[in-house]
Amino acid sequence: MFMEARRTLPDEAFVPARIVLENKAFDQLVKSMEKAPKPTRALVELMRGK
Amino acid sequence: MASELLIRPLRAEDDRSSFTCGQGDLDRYLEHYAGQNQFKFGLSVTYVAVTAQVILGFATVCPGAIERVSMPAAARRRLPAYPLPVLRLARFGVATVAQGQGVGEALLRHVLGVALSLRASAGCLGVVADAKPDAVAFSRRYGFVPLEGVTAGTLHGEPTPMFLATASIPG
Repeated sequence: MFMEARRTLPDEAFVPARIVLENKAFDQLVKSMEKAPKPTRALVELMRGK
Repeated sequence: MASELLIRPLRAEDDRSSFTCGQGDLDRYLEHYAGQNQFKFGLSVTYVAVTAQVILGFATVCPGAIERVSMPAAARRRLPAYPLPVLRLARFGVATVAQGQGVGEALLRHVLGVALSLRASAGCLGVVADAKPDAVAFSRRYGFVPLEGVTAGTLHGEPTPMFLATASIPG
């Protein structure tokens, strides 16, 4: 099914599942997630439904 | 907004032809491809914000993963080279007639709720929003930061992939 989608859909309609990062960038991302940033005020208010 | 806004998955019978958000590629995606991706291929789900059966906005999401180009031999011995499971917010548009009325915020709230549910049910470490230039500031407001060093997996038109850790989303 995936291959059929790849053949059928134009590039503009296709969403690649994998995002590949340079090694250093990937490692920095993993490190940043060890202590996730606090939510911004806007995010807190958004999730409260404000 | 006068009528109640409902956010739900796209239905085959939804009229998508009259939707316009001011960006032709997003309008075209919703009209022609969102249904195929969802109903025929099962690759993504498009959530629509509707009022009185009129689509005022949409957000297309799919599961994805962030991977490393390569794993050094020493690390490979110690660590499994797991990709990071994420929810990808690949398409996002609000009808021009509804902009500035909270439709985008309602859709984003719903998508972040999906990410939290996914984290609890199958694993999800973050949300990647593929932000067009005029959506970068909107995404930053909610804590999304641009992913650095992307070597593959960008969308057509090369929007900026922006990341928000699910651990940062208030549950």
